[in-house]
Amino acid sequence: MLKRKEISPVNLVASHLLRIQETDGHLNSFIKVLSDTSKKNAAQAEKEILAGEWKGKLHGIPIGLKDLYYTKGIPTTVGSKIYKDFIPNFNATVVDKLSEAGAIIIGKLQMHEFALGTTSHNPHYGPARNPWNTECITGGSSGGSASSVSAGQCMGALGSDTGGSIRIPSALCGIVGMKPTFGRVSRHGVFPLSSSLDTVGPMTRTVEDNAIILNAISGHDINDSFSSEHRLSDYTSDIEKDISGIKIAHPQTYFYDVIDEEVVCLMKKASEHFASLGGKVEPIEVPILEHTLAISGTILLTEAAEIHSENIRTKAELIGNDVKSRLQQGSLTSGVDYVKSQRARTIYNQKINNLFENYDILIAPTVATGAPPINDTSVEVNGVQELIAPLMARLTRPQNITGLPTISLPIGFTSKGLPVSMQLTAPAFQEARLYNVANQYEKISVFKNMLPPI
Amino acid sequence: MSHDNEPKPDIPPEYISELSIDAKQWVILEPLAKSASNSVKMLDQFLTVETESSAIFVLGKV
Repeated sequence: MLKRKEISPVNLVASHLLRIQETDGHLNSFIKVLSDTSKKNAAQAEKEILAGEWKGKLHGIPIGLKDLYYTKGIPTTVGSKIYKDFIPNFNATVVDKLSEAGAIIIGKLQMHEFALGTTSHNPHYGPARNPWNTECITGGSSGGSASSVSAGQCMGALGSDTGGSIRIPSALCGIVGMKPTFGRVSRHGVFPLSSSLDTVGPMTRTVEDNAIILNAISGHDINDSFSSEHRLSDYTSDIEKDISGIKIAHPQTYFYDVIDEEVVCLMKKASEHFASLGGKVEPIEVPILEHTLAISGTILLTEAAEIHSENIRTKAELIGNDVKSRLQQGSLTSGVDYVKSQRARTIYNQKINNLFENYDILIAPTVATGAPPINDTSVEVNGVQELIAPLMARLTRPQNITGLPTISLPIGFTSKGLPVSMQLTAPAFQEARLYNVANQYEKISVFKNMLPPI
Repeated sequence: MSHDNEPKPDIPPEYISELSIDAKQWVILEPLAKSASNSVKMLDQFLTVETESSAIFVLGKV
């Protein structure tokens, strides 16, 4: 519609700024709204489109950034007090790529401090609130990204995912979140948390929108030493392909040890939907998954402690208690345990990758419950009290260990009206396959076109 | 004279104090650190001497 000049980028951005003004007092999605620069850039986009210089599907589209993406001349807080006045002197590679594609950066979004947490309950900037129920958490760490997209404050956002931080809030806020293959998208200029686990990716309301953003931000970058030179795909070209005959593995080990019955029921229905699309879903056991928490927890906390070693020694009083405690725990990890976890990761990855000799994708629930209340620290799961922080990331960690691409998409609601999602995983660099399968599922989903009450 | 080399649960060792850990936090952190280390020990059941920690180097090169 922008290309056909039926909608003006100026009006599109203005309507989103108005939506932010109306709703952000309830949601707290934004750390900084870029009203002036987004209006200026929208006017420029309008001029270009009117002159026939259409840059593509993102031209004139308002996009939000988790506040750990470096933005030249604009504060990048990383959700912390320590970096509240940090102003980068360059853009993250993906920010430049979005700008080249014509996207309009509308603001910097709320997050868990240092991206080291799963609730986005931020002691310095307040809690991000879930648009489906503002008394509930968004999940984290990319909580502001999820709530802003879900509530229509922007048309897409970037998050980051180290132990589930794109997929968890996407699941709890009822949107689509993609954690691409490790190395697919540059992390240059994205404040790090864990060098061997960090990935960045898009969060959107639909599968197709997500693929469009990944098209714009993917690719090799010499400034990121882990960036891959693997060939690029057009992630939108195959999304309409028929998926009949697809072989789907549904691991039961680990994923169903601690999980709400309502989520289990919705996953059963999702399996039936795949069968109705011609897919063959097979429950399988994968014993190595039992070691997920030992491997992921050790690597993530130790690498985070290294990144923040100076902060924890000299500025600990400025760090929120939960994050400080995690960084201290990571600092206490022995070198022996860290190396052992990385060695175990090699075996773990081999065993998971071997599954794709017999299956096209893996499916699993994304989060074990709907969004818990903001002020609670534990939640009852089948009669047992579980701590919320570790529970939220329990099911998303395996894909960070393996680095495999994984998309989270909504599959229904709990009896309290809160979104529930599943995640699909494919072999490395097969994001196009995930978009195809997710798009076919989305077409028959009860969730399609549903908006939160806010 | 008896020697007691065990860390006191309510007093963090001096080198840990550099990490801004006070006695109250140490009471919480010490069992967490021990428990995490114990779960890493369980990884020995499938590790062999030949297993290299290659994962992080391989991933980006696929």
